[in-house]
Amino acid sequence: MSDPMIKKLSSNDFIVEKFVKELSQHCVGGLELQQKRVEIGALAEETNTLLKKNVFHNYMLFIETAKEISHLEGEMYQLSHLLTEQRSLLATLAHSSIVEGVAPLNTSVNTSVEQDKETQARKQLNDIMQKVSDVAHSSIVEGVAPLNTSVNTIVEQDKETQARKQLNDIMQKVEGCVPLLDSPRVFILEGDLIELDPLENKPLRRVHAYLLSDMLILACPIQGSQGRYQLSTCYDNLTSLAVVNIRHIAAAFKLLAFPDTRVFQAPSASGKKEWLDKFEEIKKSNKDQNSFQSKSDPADSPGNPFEQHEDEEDEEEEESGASEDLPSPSPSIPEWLQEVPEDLDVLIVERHFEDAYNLIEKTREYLNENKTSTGGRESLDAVFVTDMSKKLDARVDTLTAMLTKELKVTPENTRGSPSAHLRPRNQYSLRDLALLISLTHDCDLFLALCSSILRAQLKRVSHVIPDIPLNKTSLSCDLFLALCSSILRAQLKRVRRDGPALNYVSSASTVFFTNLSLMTTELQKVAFPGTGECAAAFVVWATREFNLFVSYVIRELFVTQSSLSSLSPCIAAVSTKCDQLTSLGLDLRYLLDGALRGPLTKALKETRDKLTDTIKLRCSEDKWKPFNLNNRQQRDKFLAEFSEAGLASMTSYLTGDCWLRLSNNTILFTRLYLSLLQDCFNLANSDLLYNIEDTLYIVMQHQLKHVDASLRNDQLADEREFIVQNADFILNNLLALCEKKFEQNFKFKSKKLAQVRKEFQHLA
Amino acid sequence: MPITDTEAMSKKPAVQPALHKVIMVGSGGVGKSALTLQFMYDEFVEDYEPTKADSYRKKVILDGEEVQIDILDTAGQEDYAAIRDNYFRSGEGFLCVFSITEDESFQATQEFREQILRVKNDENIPFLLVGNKGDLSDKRKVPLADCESLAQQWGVPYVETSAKTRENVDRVFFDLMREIRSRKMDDNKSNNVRGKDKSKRKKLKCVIL
Repeated sequence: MSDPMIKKLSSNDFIVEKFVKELSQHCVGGLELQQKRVEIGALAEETNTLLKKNVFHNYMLFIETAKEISHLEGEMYQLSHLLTEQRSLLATLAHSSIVEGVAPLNTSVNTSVEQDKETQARKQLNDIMQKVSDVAHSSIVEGVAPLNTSVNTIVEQDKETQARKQLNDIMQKVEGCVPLLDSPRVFILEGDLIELDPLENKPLRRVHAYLLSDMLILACPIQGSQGRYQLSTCYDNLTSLAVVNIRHIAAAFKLLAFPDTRVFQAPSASGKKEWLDKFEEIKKSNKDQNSFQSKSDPADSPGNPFEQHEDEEDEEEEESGASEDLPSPSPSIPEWLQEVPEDLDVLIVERHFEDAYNLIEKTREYLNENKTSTGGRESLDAVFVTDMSKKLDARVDTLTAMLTKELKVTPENTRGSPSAHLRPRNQYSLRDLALLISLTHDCDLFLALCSSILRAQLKRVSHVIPDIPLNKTSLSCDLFLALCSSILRAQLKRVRRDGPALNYVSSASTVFFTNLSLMTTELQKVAFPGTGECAAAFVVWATREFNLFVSYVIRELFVTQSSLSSLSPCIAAVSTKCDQLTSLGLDLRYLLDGALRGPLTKALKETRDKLTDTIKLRCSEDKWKPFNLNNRQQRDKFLAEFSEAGLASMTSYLTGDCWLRLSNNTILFTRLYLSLLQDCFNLANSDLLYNIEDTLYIVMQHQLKHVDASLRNDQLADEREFIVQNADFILNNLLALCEKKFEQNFKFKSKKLAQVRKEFQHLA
Repeated sequence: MPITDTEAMSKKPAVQPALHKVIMVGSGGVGKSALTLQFMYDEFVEDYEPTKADSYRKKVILDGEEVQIDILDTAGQEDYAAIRDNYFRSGEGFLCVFSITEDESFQATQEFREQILRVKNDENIPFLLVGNKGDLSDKRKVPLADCESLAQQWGVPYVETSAKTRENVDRVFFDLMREIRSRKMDDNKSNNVRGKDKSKRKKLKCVIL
């Protein structure tokens, strides 16, 4: 019943009047109409509920959609946040790598990049940023370290295109702008400024300024068109643009670019600070680049800004002059040779001293080879060769000066924590010194250098060494000892060789042992405290150096016919110095004794032979007559001499005023023998004891044999009493004295002297 | 340029007092900023921080007449000669400062003087040689006689100051301003009378000297 009704009611051509007419025609009586009314009422009710239900349902759908939308909004927000973050990241990255000349990123990041790609890129960028900032911190000199290559190149290309795009933007925004893309400049800063009247400080106009890495663009806004400017001024030489901070006007600064003086006001104090900082930064980076190119170090002359400037000029002049002087290259000159002076300059500036040295050596060799081969085909143009040698010499001087300066640095000069600064320098210095030595072969330089360097350098080195990691100890020990060797040898070379041998030996040994003890102290106390392996290395090294030194001494001392009396004080001098080392725990005496044994034995033998020859000669002329001292004066002098030598008994042999009851020969022998004994004492050591005793024995024996022979000689029968007196003197005075002295000196009795006494006891 | 100058003069001489531009030059650390701050604000700053380039302006009464002094405190450590040139060009008078406790700074004045003369092309530019740190006389390295003979050689006054005790601080600025003022008057006179350039007047003076 209700269905047809609904159909009828919801049909399109439903007309209320027609429906009522039909109803009134069909229905009979009021009751039926009443019923219809109830029906329609119910229908209305039903429809109402349905409508309500529908509304509710739609409402739910609406809420759900709204939820979806807000969710979507969140995602969008997140996305935009990510993008901003990335932008700032890239900006920091670009900012921190001015050294590389990389451009900062444009503000708009390509939004079509997929999200996952972005997070990945972000991660990589983080890495790169770390690396780039590390590099920027660590080394301007070393230039750019190799970065993570693949990622880096992508990013850099990206940046380059971004930078170009930025510059393009500026060119488009600023009417009448100069072309900006012709050099690798980058965009630094832009902003609105108010230009003030420089005299009255009243605002003149609004300007928009762009700061690029090498120029400043000032533009005026064009009336009516937003974001478009008209070029006003372009300062393209920032190194002559003086920027002045104005203190009496808030947020204002001044540009002095002759003849203009322009005053600008930034929107805020922090804005001004940013502008001033950026200007300063550009100036600094320009300076860094300049000083990187030229060799003068601005840090050397902080007090006087002129010096550096003049140096630079000089340099330029010199170089331009040099290039003009260069003769037209003949075809036989290799290209590398022509570039040697320039290459050397670069190497020296970049402190690659070793490479510079190698290049110098190579060039010298080449020049020498080709100068001498006069075949015509190979030989170089003489003008070129002299020119090149002149240039080469100049570079050598520069290098030497650099190295000298480098080495003169004393520990006080280095600031900051020693471990951070000194370690690399220390390694350099050792090498530098070695280089310098091979470069100059100049003793006079060392005269100045060594004395000044030695202590400072060695101290510095030794102070640094404990900081070197453990596994490098032996290496650093080697380097340290190499340094010591250089110093020692250079010092020894300086000792003059003229004059008596004693002078040379004593000064040489002073030099050697003083240095050695200094080095020992440094090594033990400072450089390698408590490391056994280094001590071993040191002992080996010390032995080597000492042997070298002793070989010098021996070569100097033991020339043929050197008398024992000249040798003995030299040996004594060396021995004393050597013994002083034992206080530091370094006993080299055995080495000295060992090295001297051979030559000394030989010298003893020579002396013995010489003395016996002398004795023979004198004895053959011996007349056995008393010795005449001529006058009292001589007599007193004579007695004093012998009583000083331990023979006070000489007085008892006097007869009359001036006569002595001993022969001339005996007196001469006494003198000779006593001096031999003294020399022997000076030279003595346990190794030589046998030879010494032997020498003493044989010399004494020769004299006594002569006395013996004279006693037996019938021709001398008249002189018998006199001869016996002499023999008595020799045996009981001289020999007794010698035996006593020997015992005093060596703490035991000489067997050989006892033997000779026994052999000739019968004479007395 | 001269047209606008005279215009400014004739239009509003009462409104805008005369402006004298003073440049502080000298090596780093001799006390240029200390002198400037003492003069400007009556304060002595112990801490040393190298100046980049600061400019100050102040109204003062010079011999009963209100004038403005504009002080450019330059960087002693400025490395670029071109930038130094631009500093010097903007000045009308110079206080060349050195420290009596540092001979190097005294030696450096010679170069500053030469550069200023070259840039300004004027032997008689208002110029004072100022020996600062006069309170540290016990650490004196530059003998007074040397300072005075150098100043005499240049034909400029020599004054010893102490930014710490404020001794002679006002004097050097006021003396310099007087010189600048008298120079400007001379210039105006010669401009009005003959309208000749500086070089002619300079030549004349050279002959007199």
